[in-house]
Amino acid sequence: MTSEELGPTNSSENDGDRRPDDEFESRAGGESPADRRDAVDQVRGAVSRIRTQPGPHRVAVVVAVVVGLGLAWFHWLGLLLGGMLVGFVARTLRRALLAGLGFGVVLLAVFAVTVAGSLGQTLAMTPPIYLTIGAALGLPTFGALVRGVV
Amino acid sequence: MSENTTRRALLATVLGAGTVGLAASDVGSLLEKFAPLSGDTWDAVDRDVSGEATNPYGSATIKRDDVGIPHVEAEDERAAYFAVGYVQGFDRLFQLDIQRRQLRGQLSEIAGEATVESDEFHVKMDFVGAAEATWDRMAETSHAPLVRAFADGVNAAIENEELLIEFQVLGHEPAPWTPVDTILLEKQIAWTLTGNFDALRRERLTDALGAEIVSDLFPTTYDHDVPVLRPGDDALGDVGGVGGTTARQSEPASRRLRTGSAAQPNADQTSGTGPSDGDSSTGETGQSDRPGSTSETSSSASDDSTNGSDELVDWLAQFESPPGVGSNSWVVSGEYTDSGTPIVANDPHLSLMTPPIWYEQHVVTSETNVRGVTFPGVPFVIIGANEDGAWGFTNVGADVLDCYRYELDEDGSRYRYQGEWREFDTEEHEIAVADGENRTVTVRKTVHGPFLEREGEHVGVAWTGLTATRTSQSIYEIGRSEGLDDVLDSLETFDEPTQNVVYADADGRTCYYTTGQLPQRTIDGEPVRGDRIFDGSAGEAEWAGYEPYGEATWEGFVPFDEKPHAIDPDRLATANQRVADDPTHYVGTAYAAPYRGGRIYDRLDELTAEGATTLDDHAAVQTDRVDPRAAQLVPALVAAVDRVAEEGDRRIVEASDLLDDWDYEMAPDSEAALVFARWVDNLVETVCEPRFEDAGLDDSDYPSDWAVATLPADSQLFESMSRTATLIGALEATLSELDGAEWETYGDYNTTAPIEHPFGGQAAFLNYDVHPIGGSRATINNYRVDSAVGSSTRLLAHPGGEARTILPGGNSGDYSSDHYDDQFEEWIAGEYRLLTLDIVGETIVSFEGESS
Repeated sequence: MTSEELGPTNSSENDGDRRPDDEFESRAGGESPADRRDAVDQVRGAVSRIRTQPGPHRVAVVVAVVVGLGLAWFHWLGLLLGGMLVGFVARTLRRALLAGLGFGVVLLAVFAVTVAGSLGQTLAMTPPIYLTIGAALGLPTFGALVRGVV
Repeated sequence: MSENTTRRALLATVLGAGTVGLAASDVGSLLEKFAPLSGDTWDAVDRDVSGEATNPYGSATIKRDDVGIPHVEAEDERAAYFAVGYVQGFDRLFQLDIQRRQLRGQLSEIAGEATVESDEFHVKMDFVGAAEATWDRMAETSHAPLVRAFADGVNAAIENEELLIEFQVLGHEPAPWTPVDTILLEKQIAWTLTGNFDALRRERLTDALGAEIVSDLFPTTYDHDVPVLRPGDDALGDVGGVGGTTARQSEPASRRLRTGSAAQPNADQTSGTGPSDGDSSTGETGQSDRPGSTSETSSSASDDSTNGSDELVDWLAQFESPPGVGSNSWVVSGEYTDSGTPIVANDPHLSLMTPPIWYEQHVVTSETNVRGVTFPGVPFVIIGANEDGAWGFTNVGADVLDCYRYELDEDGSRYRYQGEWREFDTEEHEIAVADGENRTVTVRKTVHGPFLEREGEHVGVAWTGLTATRTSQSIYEIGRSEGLDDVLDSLETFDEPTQNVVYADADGRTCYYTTGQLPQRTIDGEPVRGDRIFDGSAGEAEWAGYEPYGEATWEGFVPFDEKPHAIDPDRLATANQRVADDPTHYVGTAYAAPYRGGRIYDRLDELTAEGATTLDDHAAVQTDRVDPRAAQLVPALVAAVDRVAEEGDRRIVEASDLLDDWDYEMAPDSEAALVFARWVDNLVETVCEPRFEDAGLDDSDYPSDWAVATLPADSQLFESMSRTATLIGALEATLSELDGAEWETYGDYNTTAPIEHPFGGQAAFLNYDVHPIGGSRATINNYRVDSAVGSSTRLLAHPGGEARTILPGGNSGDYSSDHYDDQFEEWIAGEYRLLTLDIVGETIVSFEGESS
């Protein structure tokens, strides 16, 4: 199975598996099932728009990158979460993985700026710098796999 | 369940398990240090010292020049030394912490199992107890407030500044710095220079090899005529501490030395007979303390300890002075310089490491203007210059550690001392071990000092550094001195380590003095030497006035005036060779072979004979790479090869021709130097290996190059293979070795690779770049590729005038600093930079006094 095959099946319009939503509905209580279904559809519609419409998509990507960088500033798990965010707003899983990788490149660029005064020494810090670069590229890409889940 | 659901579940599982797995594994902890943006390490990569800080002792400024040397200026001395502590704490805190941990026996807390034995040794020696005794004694002295201010400065840097990258990588924080920690570092360098168990080792070698071979290979006195105080040298000035007390009272010391040596030239020519019968004040012939008699003495103390103690000796050997620790220094008076003012030269040969063992600083107060190098953690300049003088140190090789054996009771819980059983002074100590089980060590002491045990063997130790010493005060006073008289006063309290001091002042006075407390030992009222194991139970040869971990009175030690010295010498050189042929009192036996000492004197004699000398001339001497071993050995090798040239291997002849045409310079681009360096090692191995291997010894027990080079052809070591055959056999072994090696020239083999950071194995980026380098263990420009020991700084100075220096690396211990390694290539090339007493550079920290 390729990521291309996985991609369309994950778009909300074609997704016939509603068990998580059903669970949500069962917990919601007061509203009617129809109302709840409408609400879910609205969310799905919004997600679909930010994944498919160029304008909202760009905004969503920028927000995801900024939030992801912010999270990565405080903890390495932010690398994963950043990758998840940019992956989540991607149209397909394949694009999500590319977005995760792209997020890693952006993150490395920001990192280079933060250590600009000692960039040479930082790059010379082998082997730890290999872990740094590997984490920057690998963890967001790994996190972007979330697009295959939702 | 649909296929999509299965795929989602699978991906979700992979994501979840991957994330949890990373967080829980070692990778997670590595990511906490090295992840981009969030990694703890990155804060330490771009450090910048705070521009302003508070100083409880008053205002001060630190400027940093273009090679990172801090120039500290303050009106008040305490304010200045607070700033010195601050900048050392910023630049070298990891080094301070590691060295403190080593002496306290706390390395394993961060390094794990690998350093447990080191910790055990240092705990058992109780260097901390000695440092505390020293601090207790000096706490009321005039300079103690400066040591306190320094410690406060270090702690302010810990508080205010980003820690060095090593702390982030290892994940620990330093404890507050204390004055006792500073004293501990002084104990450390003293131990590095004088801590050896030669008496134990000699006993073991004698048991293994026999007295005759030990006498040939490990003579207690090398056969040469270039001691520091050369017999017959007219340029030594007024000499003292040599030639016997009675003679000194009757005529000037310098004349006595010359007369004595003329009457008895080369008095110590007989190998193994001790430091000549000129040392007859010990009341002991050289032969009386040969190793054989040593064993006899020890057997009376303890039957359990008479047959050598391999495990104990091997264990202790790890913590002795590193091989090759030594130094060069010399002084010439204005008589021999173009400026008419003296020149002082000094280059200590200590462990080369990343960052360097020395830290350079410049301190200007209302009291002094002093610049030079110190050990990080020590407030005061140790080697350097002020406006009135310049000074340097080399190691003496004095015998200031004695070994004792005791009669023990059946369960070993008590020792016999002067007819009665005594309890050991005992204390339990826990050693923390990272990623391992903590160890409990029992520290035991006798009346003499620490009691060390291994595999049923024991030794009691007395070492001058284990009592309260006053060296810190002495060093401080030298920095403030205003001329020779001040320095001589200061040297009286330089208790340890034993050092050769050379000094010159701006008025043209010069001086050489042997410093450090020299024990005098007697048995039955007769003076004896210290290179044996004494019967501790009988209280044999104890040092009068010595109080381990207490306050010594020093009454049983050599009086200051009777230590070897020369006042106003015109030309004098030290290179760890024998101090004098006929010292008034026994000094020691751990002298270096005279390769460097002889070469320096040859060069200085030549230079001064030609006329006035310049700093450039002395720089050329200090960076001289001609190997005196080559002049000693190559002609014999060439002659040996010539004798067998007809039937010999052509490669042997070609190698011999190569060496014959060589200028003996250990230059990195020299092919001959490579062949020679490897040939010398192979020669020592060819001579020693058969007997040493049979005796259960290894190459760590091999003798010096000098001992092998001077072995006579009729030595029993050449019984199975003649000297000629040995010389050629070593060359054959060398050529075979070079066939399989990737070395083309000396610099391919002789590199700076061993100059490592203590954690360079785990974090290689902390090491300096590797370069080819010249010099050898026998050249003035000293470099030992096998043990990373060499010229740890170089100083050339006209007192009160022009001076030059260099460090083997950089002044900063901050990996990301431009000054981490900015002097390294200049040092390799034998270049210098100016050392001025002007305050230069940009202000990096302004301290505001708390009261202002």
